[in-house]
Amino acid sequence: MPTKRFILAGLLALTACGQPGAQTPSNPTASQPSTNQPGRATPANLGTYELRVTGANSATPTISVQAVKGLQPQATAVSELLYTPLSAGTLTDEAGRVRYLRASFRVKNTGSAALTAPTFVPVDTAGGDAGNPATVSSTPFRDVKRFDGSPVPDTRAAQLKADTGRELTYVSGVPTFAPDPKATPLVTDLNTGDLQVTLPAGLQVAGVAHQGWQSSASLAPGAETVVTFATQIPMAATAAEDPYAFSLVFSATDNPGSLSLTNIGAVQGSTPSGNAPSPLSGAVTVEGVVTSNLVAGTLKGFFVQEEGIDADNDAQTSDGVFIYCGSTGGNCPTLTTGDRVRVTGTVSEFVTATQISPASATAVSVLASGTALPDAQTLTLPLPVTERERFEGMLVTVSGTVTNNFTLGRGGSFDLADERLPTFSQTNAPSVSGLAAYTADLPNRFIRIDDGTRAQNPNPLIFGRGNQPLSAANTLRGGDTATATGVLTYSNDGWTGSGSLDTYRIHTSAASTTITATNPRLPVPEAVGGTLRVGSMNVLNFFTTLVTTNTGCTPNGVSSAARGANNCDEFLRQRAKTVDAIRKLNPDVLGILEMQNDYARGANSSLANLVNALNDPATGGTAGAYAYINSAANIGTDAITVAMLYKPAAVTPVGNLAILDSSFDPAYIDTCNRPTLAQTFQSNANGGRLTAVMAHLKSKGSACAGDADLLDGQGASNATRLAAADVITRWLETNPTGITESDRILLGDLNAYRMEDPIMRLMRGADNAAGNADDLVSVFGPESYSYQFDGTWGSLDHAIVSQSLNAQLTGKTKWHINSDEPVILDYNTEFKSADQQASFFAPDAFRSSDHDPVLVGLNLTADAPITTPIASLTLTPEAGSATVTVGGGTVTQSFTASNVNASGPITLGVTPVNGAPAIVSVPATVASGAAFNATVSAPAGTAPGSYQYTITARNGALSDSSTLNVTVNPAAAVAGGSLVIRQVFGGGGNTGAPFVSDFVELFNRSNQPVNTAGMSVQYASAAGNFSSAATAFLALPSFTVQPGQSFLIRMSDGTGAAAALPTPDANFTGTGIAMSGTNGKVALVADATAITGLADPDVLDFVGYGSANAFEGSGAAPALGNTTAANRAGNGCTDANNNASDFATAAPTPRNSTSPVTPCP
Amino acid sequence: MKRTLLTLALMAALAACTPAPVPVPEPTPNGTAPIVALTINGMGTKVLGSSLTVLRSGLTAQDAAALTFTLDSVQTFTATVNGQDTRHFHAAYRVSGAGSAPLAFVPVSLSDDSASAGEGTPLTIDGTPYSLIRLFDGTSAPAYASALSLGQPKTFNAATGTTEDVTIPGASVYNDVSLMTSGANRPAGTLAGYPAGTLAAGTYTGKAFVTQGSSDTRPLNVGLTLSRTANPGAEPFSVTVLLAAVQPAPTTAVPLSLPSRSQH
Repeated sequence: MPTKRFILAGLLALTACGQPGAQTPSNPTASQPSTNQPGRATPANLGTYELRVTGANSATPTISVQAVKGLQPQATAVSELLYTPLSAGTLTDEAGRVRYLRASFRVKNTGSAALTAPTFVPVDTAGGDAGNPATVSSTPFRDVKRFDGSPVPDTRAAQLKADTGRELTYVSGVPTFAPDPKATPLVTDLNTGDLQVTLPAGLQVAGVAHQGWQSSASLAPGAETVVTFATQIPMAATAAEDPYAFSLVFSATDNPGSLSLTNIGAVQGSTPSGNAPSPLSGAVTVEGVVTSNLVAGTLKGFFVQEEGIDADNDAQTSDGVFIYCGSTGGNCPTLTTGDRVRVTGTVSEFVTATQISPASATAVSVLASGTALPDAQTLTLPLPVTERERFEGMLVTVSGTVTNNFTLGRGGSFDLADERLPTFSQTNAPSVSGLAAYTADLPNRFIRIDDGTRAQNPNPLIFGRGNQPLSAANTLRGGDTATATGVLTYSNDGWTGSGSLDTYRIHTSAASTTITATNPRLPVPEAVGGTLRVGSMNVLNFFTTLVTTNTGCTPNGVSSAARGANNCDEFLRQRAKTVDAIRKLNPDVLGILEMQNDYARGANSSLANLVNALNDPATGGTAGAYAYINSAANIGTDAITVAMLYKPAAVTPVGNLAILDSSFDPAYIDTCNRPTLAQTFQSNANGGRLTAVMAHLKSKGSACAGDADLLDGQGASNATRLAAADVITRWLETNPTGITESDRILLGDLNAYRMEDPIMRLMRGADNAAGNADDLVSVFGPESYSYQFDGTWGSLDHAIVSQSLNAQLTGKTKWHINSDEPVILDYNTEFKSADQQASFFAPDAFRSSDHDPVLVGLNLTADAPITTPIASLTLTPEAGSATVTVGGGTVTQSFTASNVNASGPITLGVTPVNGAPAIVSVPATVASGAAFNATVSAPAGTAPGSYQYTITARNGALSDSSTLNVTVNPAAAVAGGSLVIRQVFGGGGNTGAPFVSDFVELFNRSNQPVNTAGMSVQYASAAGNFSSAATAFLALPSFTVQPGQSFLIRMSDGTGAAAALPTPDANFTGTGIAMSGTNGKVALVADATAITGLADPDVLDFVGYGSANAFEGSGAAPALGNTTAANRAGNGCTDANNNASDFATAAPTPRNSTSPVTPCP
Repeated sequence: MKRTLLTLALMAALAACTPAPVPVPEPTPNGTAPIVALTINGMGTKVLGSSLTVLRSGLTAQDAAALTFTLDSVQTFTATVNGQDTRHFHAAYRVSGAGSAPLAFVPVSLSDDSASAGEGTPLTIDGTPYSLIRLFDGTSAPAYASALSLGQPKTFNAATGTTEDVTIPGASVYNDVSLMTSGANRPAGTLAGYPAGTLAAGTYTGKAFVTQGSSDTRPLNVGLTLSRTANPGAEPFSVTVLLAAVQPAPTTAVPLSLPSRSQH
């Protein structure tokens, strides 16, 4: 109808006016032969072909259709369709730089079934090889070549588009290239998701388009029609770059019907910048490929992505989305990555990420399996966060440098960045605005790689080098490089804070994450040359006082305030790693950080423990190789301290140990900064000397006395550190060790990065003016690092030297054994499974701490050795012992304290170790060389056991200590000490009582005979007092009660008719002791004197029952009755000195000395 | 009537989005017709393209500035008609500077003017409007002139699989015309002619590509058909066609009976 045509032409022209860039053909006259009918059969596959075009940009294109290579022998007749070329041509849009190619065939139905609407569906393929390549990118085109036979780059080849044949028309004289209504239309919204496409081995289906050329002609067997395939080919600036030859892969089918789907790009919506929720709501139906199946994990869902051939090609919309299968995952069927699925569900946002939630598993249909995954989009870092939303839910790949592995152990994640990210103030001068800008830009520079689960402490931990799991031998170091491919989404690691970030992350797998050992471990530090090696090292809170349990690996017990190992297992792991690190660092002088501040324990101190382990030949050490500077007293008030080790064979300490605290200058706040130590060492080889200074300044995390974070990059307490730096420079000018020495090195954790105020202040020297001789030199520059924090790297650990010493430096290094390594590889065992505790641990240096050691080499200038004898104080012997008995006499152990090259009084002290009782005393002072005794006495009540004490002698700064081991034996057993009251019955003769007499049964629960001579049994009413009256007191005859034997005492008789007791071993006198049948008190007493009460020291055993006002332990034995007695548990063997738990009521069963013997175990 | 009104309405609507034409000089009325050389190159297996130049030899500056040409599209397709493989070309230009006067492009030949000293240039092949028929290697191949024919652009009917002449609304039409001309502004030393004789001042009756409408810028659509040989690789690489731009023209025109390509 001409009228209709004109209307349509006008509408098309107007549309072109409004959207001049639109390229997608639209043909309103294209027929849609059928709609998607319920119960519709899977569309038949009439063969998979390729349209081959050569001379595409020439005047004489040649065309053919043949089976996809390898599927069948090449032929023009394939399956049920015969293709005969009719015409090939091109039409250029010179202004738009597009060439429109069309290829027309006469297609004959050679099959036996009539076709209602032959449809030719482009197919995207993957895999293949040089002989049978896959299609390019996400297109149905392959073998795209230039005229000279060279391949067209994929980026250009991917611009080829299937099309409806075009024709030139004019609108107001302006050329327009509109779809030719006579050409076979490229119909959209075809229901082809379940079209099963067969490809030759080696090729894989990557996408079946939901559009295709669809003929409206019904083809009976033998009938034929004209089908025109068409392609848009963008024209290059030079024709030589244009595609000359290519193939288009398609599958033929018949009338697949139509289906209205929502493109995932439309679900995600366009996000030019930032984060935007889905523009849609309510139910949608999408189709795509399962790219990541995480239903079984904590995410309970999977990611699906449009097949590339169906993607909207809008760079600002994402083609992938998360399908949430409900809290149990039950709203999805069993799926496999590569399944082509159709999902109907509700669109929503979860933590700003778009998701679709199907109502049940029936809303997710698997249409086909084995589909190749869409090509991963390459993300290049830095990538602004505002440009990441557009990839949400899509397969992406990224390469970068590992800049954060802090969350690796807990969250199975790490960060890649464009480079190892420096901490702001490591490379920049402090600045509020500078820090703000730097911090704002950091998220653009990294991206988190995630194991696809929010579970904490995952096992296995999949990210190690070479696509293998993490282990002590297969690490993942900062500075390594990695390429990860997975699905981009936005979420956190599964917890709040402590490294977990709400950020864009790539859920990936071990197989898809290749980590390269770009930053290899160095088994020993880099060479530093020189004749002396001086360094410092953090020992990660080396505490011999453990946190939870101590089974004897150290003498210093447990304390909840301890900061290091929880138990002996952890301590031994920690020590092994620390020892290995020090041995391989091989320093002649080593400063130590984070050592337990327990110098006062002397030989039992943590520092001594470490040095002993270091020197232990059994583990590869050398006896006496290392010694330590012993302050004898704890330094400062913090739980940790700095310390110094040295090799006596290489250097000799000269002068005194100097301690900088607030007594030198209150500006040095020693309650925030740890006191700084200085010691001068003299080379044994040439007399050269240097003064080594160890400092550990206030940390950044909290404010010291209101010294708040100014948000300029230096953290809290910067003024405190700055003041300390100022004091240190002036203090060193005083030669505090007593040795005038200008060669100085300041080592330690200054808690300041390279460009921060304290470091700059130190370098200006004592006069606080740059450019003078007192200026100090930072050995390491801003490029160095020793510490990782929040994914950024800097150096808190410094070596700052005087100018004179700087001239003697031969080398420097920071041995990156710690900061680069994952935290999970340290000594700790918590949050690790048994197999991880084994596989993550090695007794080596790596991750022995969180800071890297610092090491410098020196060639000290020779100097005249200082020959002044070195003052010292010795206490001998190193160890003594004493054995005492509870309640016994005193025992002494002699020690001698001697001044060597020193004078003055010696003060003494004794410190119980690990909660030992205070039973050792020493004199307050002693003369040098005079022996003194450590006196040990264990009064009654002292718990028997083995104890340890530190005996300390001090003379000013000099000190020494020895160990006294004390054994406390129990008091000699008093007669009857193991004899106990086994049974008490006071209802004798009362109504219903089984026996006529009240009785008390004694029992020997020991393994030694006990004689009752001199003992008595005494009774008092519940609230009454004991007395020597015959009604309350019964002296026992002499009788040796054997172990396990009972001794029956008849206390009194009642009047009722009841059985007599077995023959008593002792009988009352007079009227006897009429015991209460319900409430009362009975005591077994060591002598024959009335007791004053429970606390009387002569009481051997005591039972209060019922409402008695006295009893052992927490409560009385139960009230008794006419038919019940109080019976000692454990067949008489239990004695916890608690009547309430030691006794229970039972029918009276009196046993005498002839009853069967039942010894206690 | 209904169809015409609807078309006009739609055209009016579209005019709103057409850029305003740049004022151009009016062509010289009743002047000698400038000759343009339209080349289709890349024929055969090479990249297809087209170019057009105005033969400037002997032309005044005013002539040269009068008409400008913009290539819009080059189209080609192959088809088999009556057992003969043919290749069809369609070069689509827009001519600007035509003013509102009628404008027709008459295929002309150039031959040597024996009255002038020396040989004129360029010359066409044996009285045809074709010059410079060359093979890919640059070799002149005048024999192919007989395999070429100018005419109404062709289209391949993708529904029927046949080749058809079409007219495109707004495009020029290859038609029989009768027009008055003051002659072609031929290069020195040449004589302009056409199959029926010399193109001189007076009435010309014959074929011409007649532009449509009165807009200053109008499409020029030149169709060319090549009967293919058995060896496409030896076919012409480029062909140049000479056309005289005649204004005013035509005084009379007899439309061809052609199928109409509708807009849609």
